Amino acid sequence: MKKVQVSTADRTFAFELWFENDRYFVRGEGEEHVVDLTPLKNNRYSLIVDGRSYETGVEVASDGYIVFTGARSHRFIVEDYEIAQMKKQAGIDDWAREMLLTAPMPGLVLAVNCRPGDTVVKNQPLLVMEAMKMENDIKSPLTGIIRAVAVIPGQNVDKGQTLIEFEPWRNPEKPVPE
Amino acid sequence: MTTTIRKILIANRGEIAVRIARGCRDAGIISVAVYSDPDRMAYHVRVADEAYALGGTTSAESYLRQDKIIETARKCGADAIHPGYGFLAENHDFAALCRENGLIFIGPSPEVIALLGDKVQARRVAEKAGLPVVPGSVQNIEQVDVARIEAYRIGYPVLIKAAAGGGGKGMRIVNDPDGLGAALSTAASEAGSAFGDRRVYIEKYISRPRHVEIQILGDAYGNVIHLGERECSIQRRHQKVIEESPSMIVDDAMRAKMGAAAVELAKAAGYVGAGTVEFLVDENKHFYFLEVNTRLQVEHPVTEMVTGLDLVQEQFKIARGEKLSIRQEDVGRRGHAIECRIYAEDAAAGFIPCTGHLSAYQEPSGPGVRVDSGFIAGDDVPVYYDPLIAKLIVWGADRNQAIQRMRRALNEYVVQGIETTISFGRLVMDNESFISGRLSTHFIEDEFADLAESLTRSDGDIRLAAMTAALVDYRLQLRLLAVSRRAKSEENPWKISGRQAGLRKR
Repeated sequence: MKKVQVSTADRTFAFELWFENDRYFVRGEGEEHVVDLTPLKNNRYSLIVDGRSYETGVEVASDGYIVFTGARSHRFIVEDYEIAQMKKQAGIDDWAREMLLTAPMPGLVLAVNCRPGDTVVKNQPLLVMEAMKMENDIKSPLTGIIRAVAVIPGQNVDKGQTLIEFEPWRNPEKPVPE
Repeated sequence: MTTTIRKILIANRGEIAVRIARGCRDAGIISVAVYSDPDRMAYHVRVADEAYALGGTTSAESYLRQDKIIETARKCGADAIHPGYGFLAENHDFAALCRENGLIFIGPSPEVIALLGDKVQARRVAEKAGLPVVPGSVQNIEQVDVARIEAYRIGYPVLIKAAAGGGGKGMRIVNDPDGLGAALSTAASEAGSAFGDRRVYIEKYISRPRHVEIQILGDAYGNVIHLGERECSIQRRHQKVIEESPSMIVDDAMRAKMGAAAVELAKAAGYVGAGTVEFLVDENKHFYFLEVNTRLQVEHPVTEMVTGLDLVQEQFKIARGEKLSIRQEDVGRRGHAIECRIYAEDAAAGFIPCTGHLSAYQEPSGPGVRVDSGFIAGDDVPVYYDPLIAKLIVWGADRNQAIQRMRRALNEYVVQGIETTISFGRLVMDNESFISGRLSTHFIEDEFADLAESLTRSDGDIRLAAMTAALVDYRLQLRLLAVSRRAKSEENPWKISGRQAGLRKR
């Protein structure tokens, strides 16, 4: 039996897992499931959860897993439950370093509409990038405070390059307190 | 007088190049692909009978190089060039260059492309042919003062549009006189960079319009027919994402009226080939001429599905100088078709392009499902071109069945490695307004105040995804444990380390 914590930037789950008679058992969030987990090609898995059949892609990232549910991807950090609790008490937050806005595509930064120290709301346009001959508003992924702006207008950026860093804040869905 | 077409060069890439290559095969015509450096392994290159490198990376260095394309066509002995859509499809200079070099350009004449491609001139032609047009100025507007007078005359809100425009580029909505100056200059600069032509004009902005377009076919003998409408109201950035036929608001009488208007316009312009006349339809079902697209449309398959015609074959016939084989009264319509464009875009982040590697890719199939695609598993979606991966088209006996099939097909579709508009398509198929047919070009803003939030909520079970991550992690831990136990008995730490590293990669 192993107990783990699975977290996204704004949600946390706890699961107990064990393996018996070629089946995985999962308990957590008030439910218990019997799972047949069989790997397919290309990091895809066939799951039969209590008789319900699913197919999901799971790719290993540097610090967690990317799960493709249908057509969207979700990033998860999976860690030992006890360690997660200790980290929480110590105030260590693995998601804090995720408080970044990165370039969704390679392109040219045309304008920067925010400054360090600004409080911004989710979906507020922060930058304008030109890519594929289109001007794209790059919007804030969260409500928070800007710590640093890593690019200047006229700069060419690669996909995934950091554009903006936010002050660490555990729950990006909730407004930052005064 | 008819001519033979033995070989066609396809001056395009992606799904439309694949679509045309298939059409060539169906007709026993040899297909020739051209490609840029990043596209060497692209699917369109692999499905064509012949392929020649254009060199270069960006569109301007490759698919827009008229000289190289003409030279390739001459060298390989092509009789005709099919431009697809985008790139050189509506470039009258290129059509003229084809003619000068003795090549058939599959599309209307350079003169007609030039006439209808200029929105200001096209509007004049439409007005002369008796089509209703949106009130506005057909002059090119440069000065803010002139624009202010014009806007006052037709009344706010107004729309500033690029004369050479298309695809929403160089287009701005202005709600009051204060915003006019800025909108005018940004529209002109965007038009300048996108089309090399800064001319803009102004027209009345119709709020909550539908976008309904009529497919036309015209031969070299003055025969023009229409193939009914496509409803393309669901748009982002003024670009279509989901289309269907028939439109929920178009009945037989309205179809006949709009069709006749489109045919009149085509006749007035001397149109030869396949084309599309676009209309805006207001809340009172009044339709206004918008523009003519002098090419095959992205969304042409929905018309093919309901009429049973193959539009690429019709283009070939017209290009060979044959008469239209069907009369207006022979055009039948059956059932309902819907298309979802599968773009490499992150809908949750405002439909920004999201290119990358397709680590897993599997298209849906089964009854009533058609996929026109330009990619296969393992391909990279390059950043240099349009992010359209594929078009998913479904057919149903009625609209409800078509929606059900689209839901099923979208759920079957596997794309791993990049974000796509599949999740957006699913959201729309479950949307009440879409299901009941309440559409306008503002559909996305009206229905999804926070699209990212709606996508997250609709995206199945985040708990199940979290559980899957936990399970995959647990499985990896168990395997590592098993290996280290076995290795311990062998007492070779190097072997253990090597095996663990190997396992992590799996």
